[in-house]
Amino acid sequence: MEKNSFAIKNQIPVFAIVGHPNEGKSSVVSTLAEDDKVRISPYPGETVECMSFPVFIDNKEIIRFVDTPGFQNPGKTLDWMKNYSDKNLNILTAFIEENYGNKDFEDEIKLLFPISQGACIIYVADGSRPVRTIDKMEMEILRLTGRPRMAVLNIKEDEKNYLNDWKHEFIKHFNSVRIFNAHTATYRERIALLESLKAIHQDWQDEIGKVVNAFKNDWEKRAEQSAEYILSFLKESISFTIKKSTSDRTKAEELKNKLVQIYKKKLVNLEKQCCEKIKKLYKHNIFNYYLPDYSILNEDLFDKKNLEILGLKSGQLAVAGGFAGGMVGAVADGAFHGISFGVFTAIGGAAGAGYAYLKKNSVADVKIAGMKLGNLKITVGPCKNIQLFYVIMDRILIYYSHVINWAHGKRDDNQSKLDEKTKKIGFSSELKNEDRKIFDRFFKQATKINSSKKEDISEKELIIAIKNILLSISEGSFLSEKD
Amino acid sequence: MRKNFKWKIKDLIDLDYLLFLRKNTQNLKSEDRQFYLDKMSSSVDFKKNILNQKNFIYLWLDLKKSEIKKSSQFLPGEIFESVSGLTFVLFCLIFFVSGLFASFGFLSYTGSSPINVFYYFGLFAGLQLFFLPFAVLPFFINTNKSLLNKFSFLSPLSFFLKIFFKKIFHKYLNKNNKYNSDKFFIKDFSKYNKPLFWLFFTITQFIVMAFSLGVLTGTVIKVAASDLAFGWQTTLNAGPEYIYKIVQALSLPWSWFVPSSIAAPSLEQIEGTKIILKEKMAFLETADMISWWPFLCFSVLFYAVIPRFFIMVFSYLFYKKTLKDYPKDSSELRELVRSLENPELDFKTKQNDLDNLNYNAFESFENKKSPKKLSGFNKVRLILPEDIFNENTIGYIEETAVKKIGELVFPVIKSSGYLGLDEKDLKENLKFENSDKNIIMICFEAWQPPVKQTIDYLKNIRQIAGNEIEIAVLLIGKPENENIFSKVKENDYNLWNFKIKSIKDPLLTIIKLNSK
Repeated sequence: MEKNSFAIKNQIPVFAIVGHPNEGKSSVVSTLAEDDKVRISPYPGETVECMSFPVFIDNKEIIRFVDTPGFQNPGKTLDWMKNYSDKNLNILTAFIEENYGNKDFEDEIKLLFPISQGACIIYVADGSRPVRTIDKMEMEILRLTGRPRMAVLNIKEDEKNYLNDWKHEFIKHFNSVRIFNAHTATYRERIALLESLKAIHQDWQDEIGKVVNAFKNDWEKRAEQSAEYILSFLKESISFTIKKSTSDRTKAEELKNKLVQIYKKKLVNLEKQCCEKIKKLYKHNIFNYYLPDYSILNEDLFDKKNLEILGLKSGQLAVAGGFAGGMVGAVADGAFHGISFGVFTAIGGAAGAGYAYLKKNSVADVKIAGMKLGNLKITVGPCKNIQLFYVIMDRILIYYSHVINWAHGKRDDNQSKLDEKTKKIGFSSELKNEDRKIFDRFFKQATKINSSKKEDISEKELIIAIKNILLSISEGSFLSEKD
Repeated sequence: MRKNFKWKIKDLIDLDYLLFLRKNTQNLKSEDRQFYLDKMSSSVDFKKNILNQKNFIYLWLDLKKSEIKKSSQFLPGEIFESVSGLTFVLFCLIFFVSGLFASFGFLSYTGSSPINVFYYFGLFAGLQLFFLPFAVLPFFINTNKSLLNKFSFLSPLSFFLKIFFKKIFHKYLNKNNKYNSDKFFIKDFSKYNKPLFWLFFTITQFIVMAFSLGVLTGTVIKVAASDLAFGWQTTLNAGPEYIYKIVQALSLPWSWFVPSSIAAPSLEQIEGTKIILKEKMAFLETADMISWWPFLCFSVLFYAVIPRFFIMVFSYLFYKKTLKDYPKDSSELRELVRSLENPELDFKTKQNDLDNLNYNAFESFENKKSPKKLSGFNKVRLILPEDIFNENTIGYIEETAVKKIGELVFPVIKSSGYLGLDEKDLKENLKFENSDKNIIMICFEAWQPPVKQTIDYLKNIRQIAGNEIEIAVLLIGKPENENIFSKVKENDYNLWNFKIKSIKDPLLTIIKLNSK
């Protein structure tokens, strides 16, 4: 180890993440940094050297996190420290100078070195296990360093019986305590943890404030970019049309089915592409990202289940249908996996509301029109059912909520708050009325159904509407606003 | 220098091109942000103005263009402006000269027959008047509607422009840029149909005006430098009075400021210039014959040049007005602004450090050997961590582990897990007379990974107890209500096994606590 590798240049705030092996120090850094390049081993003691994670804003280093190896010999280290009596030399400097090269203290020297250079301490412990003597030794060592310190309870397993013991112990040794689950932390929790770092060291408040603001700004920027992706995906999927003509009228049905398959495939691909872009934007680019088992996204877009649990409620659908006025047509034969996807004839005006209410299963327009010279022209699309539009939107919003919250996903919470009668778990049924009106107008505009220029909604307005939804999802306020 | 932030077609083309180049940049956001910090934020325009999105993009474009110009590269917008400017001047010249020669040709007078003023008027002023309503029509057509976009000549025009500039553009670019420009010109120019239309329309008006000016100039030259005779004739039964009325009406636009003798020929002069075929020219008065030319010149000026001038001015204003809607808001531009304006947040993980990780070191460890069977011992000395030290635990461990191999010796030793604290206790209690009938059982919580302190502790116990005695590491799970301890996880066991084996002590065994 180079002695000066963690020296604090220009007084940049440095936070050393310390703790017992296998308590999730690297996970905390990884989650804080939203960086899945941080290598996390399932086996303890894999971090054998300190690793720096500097945070740059516009190429200027603002703060730095240092992931350290775990304590290996806390008893002996504590003994040494307790017996140290020279008040002229800083206890850590003395410890490192005296024991440098001593194999017994190899890891302790590595982990205490950044602290000796002025780093503040973030002590990480697994709150799902009991407090042990060895932990108390570690905490006492950190207390003796005299550096500002904070304890983070990283709850690795679903066990909360020991939290109070930990808190009780932490109060004796640390300036501040936070609960932070590195594997399930949401954006809000990440920001809250960063904010709490301000409390550790008063002199660093401004710098940490800058980092927090940069994080918030970056998050908002990404929400806006996601909104762009989502808007473009929605637009493309609902306006997608496929046409083909045939001279053989006996093969019309076959061709129609073929086109419907192409139509479905296209929508699924568009959804995949959009998900991929969002995933990349939120830096899930190194490791495979898996959807939670319970997620509706594991179902095919055209699965019947989607219609049951996503999209608008029947009442809302009637309003949307009436609003769009005649945008839906009368269904002649079924599509959604044999339920609808039929040949449509246009009906409009007041009938639209009733139709949308009753025939919410119809999805896309399939027209068979006679052409000159005896040819048949078959057209599939654009999407004529506003419910499909809201299902598509729900799916992408659910994906977004999964991605921003990593493997966990906020859907647990959302589902528990849902109205039992409706059984809708999507976001669209919970949209504010004004937002829904915006999307209803957008649907009309994109599918060119009864759309007039006067009612046209600009991309900017839509981006803002989507962005606000995304931000309220990430801040966890989407459903609470409704409540 | 302060910019006026006024967009031109060339700016839109350059913007398209630079956005196209930007897409091919590797560290897009980083470069954008650096450019913003180095160039934009320090510019006077940026400091002195609160820039809206369009002006912000204009400033970006302007600074980017300056940067490119410094490296002696050409921009398509610049080429467009140069080429279209040159073409415009060339066309103006051609049409002016055409007008000049048309008038020369038309006004060639051999002395045998005067020039028919009706022909001259009809060709150089009347025709223009006739087409005037068509030229005014575009002002009343909503160019947003599909009419102009779908059926106008604009699509071929933008296509022509695309091909034309592609050919010209390539001549100016180096190899690297040529590749880029190839792809760039695939892009759709039709989005600029509206401003392109008004620009083309303005230019057309100017060119037509240049023709009329050529005619006017030619006429004046011809009048000044040669002897011309004008007359009129008609087969219809229209007398000079009727012609006079028409001429008076036509000269209204200029007659209010031009002396009436010049503004239009008088009735006598009209009467005097009527060409009668059978009477030939001998009867015509020279003064009457030359009285027509000011009227003809004013006709060209007022019915060909001035209307065109006004149409040109209005179409130019429409062009400018249309340009105000450009560049159209798009996701690409919004993304650019976001990228420029927002601070770049970056975590720079030191990859080298990561590579140094001794990842999964113990995965290759041969863990499949079944643990040694322990039995037949007389006495079992139990060392129990102080954290779980109580009667219940002791009783539980005695029942589930100790009794299977021997008899528990009391007192059970309380351990801190660190020799510095336990040394005295251990030295007092780990004394054996008959070591092969005794065993030391040290209890550890399997979920706590073995650290150096743990390994050292075990080594120290071996030193205290001597090399002959069997030592068993008993792994237990987490404290739990029903079974007191949860089951030891396989992963934890494997890790402990690996670490214990690394001590290379033949009499050191590892066992798991089985539930009751």
